Amino acid sequence: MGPVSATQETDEHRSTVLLVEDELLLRWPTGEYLRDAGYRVIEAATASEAIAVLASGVRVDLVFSDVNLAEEMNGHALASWLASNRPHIPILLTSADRLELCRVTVGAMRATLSKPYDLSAVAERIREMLSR
Amino acid sequence: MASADPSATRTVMVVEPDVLVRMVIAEYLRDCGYKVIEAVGSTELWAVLDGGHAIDVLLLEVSLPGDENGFELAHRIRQTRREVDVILTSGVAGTVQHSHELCEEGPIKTPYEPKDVEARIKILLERRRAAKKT
Repeated sequence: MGPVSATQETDEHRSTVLLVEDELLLRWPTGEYLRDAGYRVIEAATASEAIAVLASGVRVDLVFSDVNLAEEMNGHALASWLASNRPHIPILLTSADRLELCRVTVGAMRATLSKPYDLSAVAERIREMLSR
Repeated sequence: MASADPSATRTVMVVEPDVLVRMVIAEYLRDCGYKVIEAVGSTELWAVLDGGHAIDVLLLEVSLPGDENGFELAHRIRQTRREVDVILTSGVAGTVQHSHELCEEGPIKTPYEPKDVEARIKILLERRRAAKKT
């Protein structure tokens, strides 16, 4: 199945997704799929890398993050950081552990998607969140 | 901005522990038409190489977290993956001398201009093409 096309066409208006995933063999194809779907994608391997990107002032429209990350700070902590420091940026959290996803307070700026996921479902979910 | 031949998309793997440096160079190279795989360190590098994914050029930072630094990695790759061209990047003094023993085209001192990196990649790819023809 081909990528779900993002509505944005030009470089200036492409939405930017910050993809946070510590497993390269998952991060890489997910990033490629979202790029093919029309998004600009910035890849981060840890929550601290994600915060470094966000703090640098680069425009980010949505964060798509794994909950279980290799370092001390996990996806929940990243979501809290975002709520305090960049409350206008929505976050989509993913995990293979359904109990972890149950801990997420879902709302307008926070959603969940369980692993393993179809890449088309990721793109669809992101499109939906960005159109809110 | 220079662009790669779209009919022959080449894959560049960027191994760089600094996310902001990685983000800038990866995006620049993608805009030039390359397929880019971003890795933080040696574990990710080997996951890709051992997984059988084809890499044309490896842009490798000398200072890496973990057991193996860029020199050691470049040495191993030179021995076991002759098909991969390596460009070392570093801001550490003395690297230049050491790197000349490991790669013909390198190293690139950081902070670098993305266009200089792309120019270097082009030289290496062109050299491979020329070698294949002869």
